[in-house]
Amino acid sequence: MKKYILLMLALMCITNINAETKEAIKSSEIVFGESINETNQKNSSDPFDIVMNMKGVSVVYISKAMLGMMPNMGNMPGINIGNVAGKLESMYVISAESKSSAESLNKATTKLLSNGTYETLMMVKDDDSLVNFYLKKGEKSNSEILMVTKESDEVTIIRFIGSFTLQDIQNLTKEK
Amino acid sequence: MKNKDFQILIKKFYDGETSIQEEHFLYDYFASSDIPHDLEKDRKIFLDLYRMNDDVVVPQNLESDLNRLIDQLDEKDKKTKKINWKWAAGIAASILIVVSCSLYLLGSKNNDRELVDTYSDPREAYIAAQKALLLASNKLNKGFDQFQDVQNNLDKTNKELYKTFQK
Repeated sequence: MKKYILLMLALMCITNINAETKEAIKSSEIVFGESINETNQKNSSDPFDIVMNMKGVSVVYISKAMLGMMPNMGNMPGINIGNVAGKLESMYVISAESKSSAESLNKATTKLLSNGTYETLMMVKDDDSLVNFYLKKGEKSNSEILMVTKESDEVTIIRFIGSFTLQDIQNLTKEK
Repeated sequence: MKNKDFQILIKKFYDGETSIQEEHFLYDYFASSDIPHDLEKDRKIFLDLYRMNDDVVVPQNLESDLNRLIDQLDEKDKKTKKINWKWAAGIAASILIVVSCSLYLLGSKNNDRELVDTYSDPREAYIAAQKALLLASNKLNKGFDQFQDVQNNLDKTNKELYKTFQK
């Protein structure tokens, strides 16, 4: 009987280690820094995986490697984003353009944001759109900012992850 | 009486439908030495049953022997139960191992999924990033400007109130 008790304990430990590993993977999404995989791989513990895999939802993903090239692209037209882009670890634009997929995306996002990991920063209401900003603070000054835009039949989520500040983003269009 | 009739009577006896007279009749029949060979087994059973009514000598230690036997059987039963628990624990542990391994492997499979850059051309990626960043910047500033407006109005109101109270 002792053998089985020991076996059960060992299994519990393994399960716990597995859970801890998953938790570590989850937190590594926040702490990008040195631990991020340079080969553009991403762990499935990302809570946004469910949202990004939804039917009718399109995703634009820009990796750290690609963003890392941007500070050297000063010859591009328009406002130079090189400085901010260099501080980003990754960027996502998640959008749903049909009514049904927008509704599903909205529901999934609301559920995801209700777990308390993101804090609401600001809500900006326009004539035809509602924009919400959310912040998730990570370790080593890394953070994640979500901009969720809801229009009549469209939902768009822009997700920035990296060691930037709100001021960095604001400065891009601030009159000096 | 013919053999066939005896067989019918024997069947009736096994079914518990014979009368006492019929059973006596059967006893007499089986007690005689002249019976067919195929009824030998029935004969033995029948005679054994009827001999039970004779005086049987009860062994002296029968009660204590029986008690010991009951205790032994009870002990055996307990051991069997223990063995069953071990089996149950073993099966449960095996199921847990299989489930844990499956979950772990499934998890690993998902973890291996690659997320590939949408753009292979850095210029296209730059334009997309620029568009997203400027939109976010614009909306953030709009929000902060509105806060600033409210703040300015509050300051203005506070100053007016202060002036009024001063008078």
